[in-house]
Amino acid sequence: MTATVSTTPPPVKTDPAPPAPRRRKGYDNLQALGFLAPQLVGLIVFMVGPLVFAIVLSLSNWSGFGNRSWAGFDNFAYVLTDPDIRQSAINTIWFTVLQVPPMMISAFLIALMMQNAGKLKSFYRTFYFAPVVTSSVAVAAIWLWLFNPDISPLNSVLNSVGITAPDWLQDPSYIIPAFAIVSIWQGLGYQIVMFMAGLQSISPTMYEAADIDGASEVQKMFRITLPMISPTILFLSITSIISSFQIFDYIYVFLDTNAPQAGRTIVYEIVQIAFTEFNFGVASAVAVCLFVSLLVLTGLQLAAQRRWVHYTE
Amino acid sequence: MAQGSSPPTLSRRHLLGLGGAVGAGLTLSGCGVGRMMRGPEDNTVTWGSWANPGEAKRFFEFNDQYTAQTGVNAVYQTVVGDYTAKVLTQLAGRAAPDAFYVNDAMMPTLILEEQVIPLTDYLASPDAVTAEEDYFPGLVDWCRNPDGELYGLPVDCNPLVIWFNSDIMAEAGVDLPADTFDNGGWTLDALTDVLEAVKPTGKRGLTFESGYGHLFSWITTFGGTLFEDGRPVFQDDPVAIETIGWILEQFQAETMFYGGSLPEGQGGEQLFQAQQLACVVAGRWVLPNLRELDFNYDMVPFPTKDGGTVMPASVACAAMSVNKRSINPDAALDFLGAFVNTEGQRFRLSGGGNAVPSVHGLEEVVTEGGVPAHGALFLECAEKGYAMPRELLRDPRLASRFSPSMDEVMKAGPTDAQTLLVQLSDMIADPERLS
Repeated sequence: MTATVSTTPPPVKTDPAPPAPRRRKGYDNLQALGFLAPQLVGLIVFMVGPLVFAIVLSLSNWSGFGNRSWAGFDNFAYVLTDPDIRQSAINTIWFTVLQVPPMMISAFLIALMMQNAGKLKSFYRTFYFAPVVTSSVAVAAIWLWLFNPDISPLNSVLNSVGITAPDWLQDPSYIIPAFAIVSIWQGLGYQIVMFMAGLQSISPTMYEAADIDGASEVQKMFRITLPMISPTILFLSITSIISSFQIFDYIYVFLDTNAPQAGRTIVYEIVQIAFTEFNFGVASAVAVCLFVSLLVLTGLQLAAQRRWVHYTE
Repeated sequence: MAQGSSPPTLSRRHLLGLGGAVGAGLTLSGCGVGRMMRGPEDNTVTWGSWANPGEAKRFFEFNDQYTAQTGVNAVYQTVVGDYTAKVLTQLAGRAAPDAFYVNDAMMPTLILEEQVIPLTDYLASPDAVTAEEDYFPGLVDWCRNPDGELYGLPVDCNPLVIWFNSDIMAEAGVDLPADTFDNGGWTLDALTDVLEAVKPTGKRGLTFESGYGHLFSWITTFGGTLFEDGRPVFQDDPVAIETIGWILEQFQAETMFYGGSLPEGQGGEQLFQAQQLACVVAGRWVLPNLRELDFNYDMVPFPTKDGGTVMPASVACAAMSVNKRSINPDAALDFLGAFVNTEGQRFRLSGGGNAVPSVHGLEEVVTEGGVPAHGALFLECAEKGYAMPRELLRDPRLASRFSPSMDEVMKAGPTDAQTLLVQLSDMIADPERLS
């Protein structure tokens, strides 16, 4: 076989000219925007827009109709000096104190116990989660009956064991604790499920190694369990505090628009000022203050996480 | 094939991106299409109200009947949840119905901000199917502006009366309050006797609740004066001092109890339905629940000095107004007239309703089925009663905060009647004093 050597040079591949970098970048950006557009439009219309509008309103006088007038920082001055709003803010913080730590601790302990529940684990999980998927209004309607001092089985039980049952929704000292009880009852299931997921993600080899090293149960709890579920604790503490600051629905069902000062929280105050007193400027100023407070609080929590939250690789 | 001539490889992505953007645009633009497509030639009237399921069903039936009779397409929007917030949002967004329910807290602001139209011209026109004179006078005043022009008409009403448990009365061995009223003896002394007789049964006698309704009713039923020249005067009225003093005495004697500021359907009403309370002050709204319960009951007006007449007491009231931005205001006014007039109220309130007509001549509605036995008195209570006084309507904070502020005063333990009344009148005179 004779090899034929072609002397003809192979055809030179003529690659198309690469697009100019600037043109290519603009094209990519346009594509990205196209994909993001549906989400971005929703975000701008339903999140950023109202937020900006609330900030504008907080600097205005507006009854909800007609023209707005510039108020400067008068609304904020009012918010920071009004004793009723201050009391509502204190009530909100008191609710957070009563609700968030007890709920997280009890949810963690129940989740811990449910680790050893065997076949009944699913049953308990459903049992605790049922209130989570129940409407807050329905929950409030049930508890309204349970809190009635004259016909409440809850009070009957307390009285039968020698505890003088309070008038939950009428005694100023007990209104906020009553809201906290209902809120914990309804929110417990969600936190239990989250803690269970966190506990199940801990590798058993860690406990086995600890057993070999002779670690006690307490040591395993504080050296393994809590550090390993610290991201869950951080997540739940952030979301719980935010939602506790926004408590409104229980109060509205329990007390309608007549909530006494001892039972008013900051979001309830916003709704009342805006839609009953027609003062959207002050209501928006309260809302902006709430937003900033939550932003700062969440920022502090995230800053502090470096000291105590452990992320596994 | 040379790469330079290949078709664009990302065409599907382009398509998806473009489709998404177009979809989002259409969705958003669709939000405002409904109202923009309506024009003056449109033969539709939209209207909105709050309603429980039973009321909503009746309203839809009214719609059907109205459409069949007039050829106008009536479209009803039930507002579930916070009615005021929803309607205010609709008004601000220029998407409110042509006609809608207005409560007493909203009315002054809607008039002031010119969101509703005056009814004067309509009521004076020959086409009007209703007249101002048809309505009980005390129920109309809150719908006026300071110049007296009318912006709404009461759809119906609910006068406060005293409901009593007949079985508890029998157990206590006292005459039924309604019988005592029929005999002309329903005075404060008679009520005191009832409450003292109930106490040994272990049941509660009667509650006094926070808010202007209870407070004012107890004063005016004995002829007390609430306001003069727009200023509260009840704090110096001997009748008011005597009556409120009697209530404070009953608290001490534990024959009456302070019921707080729980909303309608709770507090005293819940106790009454649980047969733990002998008497409760409430409107006809409790009737549907009472019908479901297994005990005997009836109603009686507040006691009076002469013991046999109905005196003025508070009446809960709502009105219908027409949106200033209504595309078809004439049709909306016609609908309003048909909705609130005598025939409209007969249609809406008969058959187990929970309200009382705000017009003359509908006794059959409140005596339906003979329940309660003295139901006919509802009409007289409505005729002589009054809606929220204009002195309370001048500042929205009064509507919002008077009840909780009064609640604080009551829970602090008022020392005597006049001190209590002075504190309450100060709040009304100067809303800055509200807590």
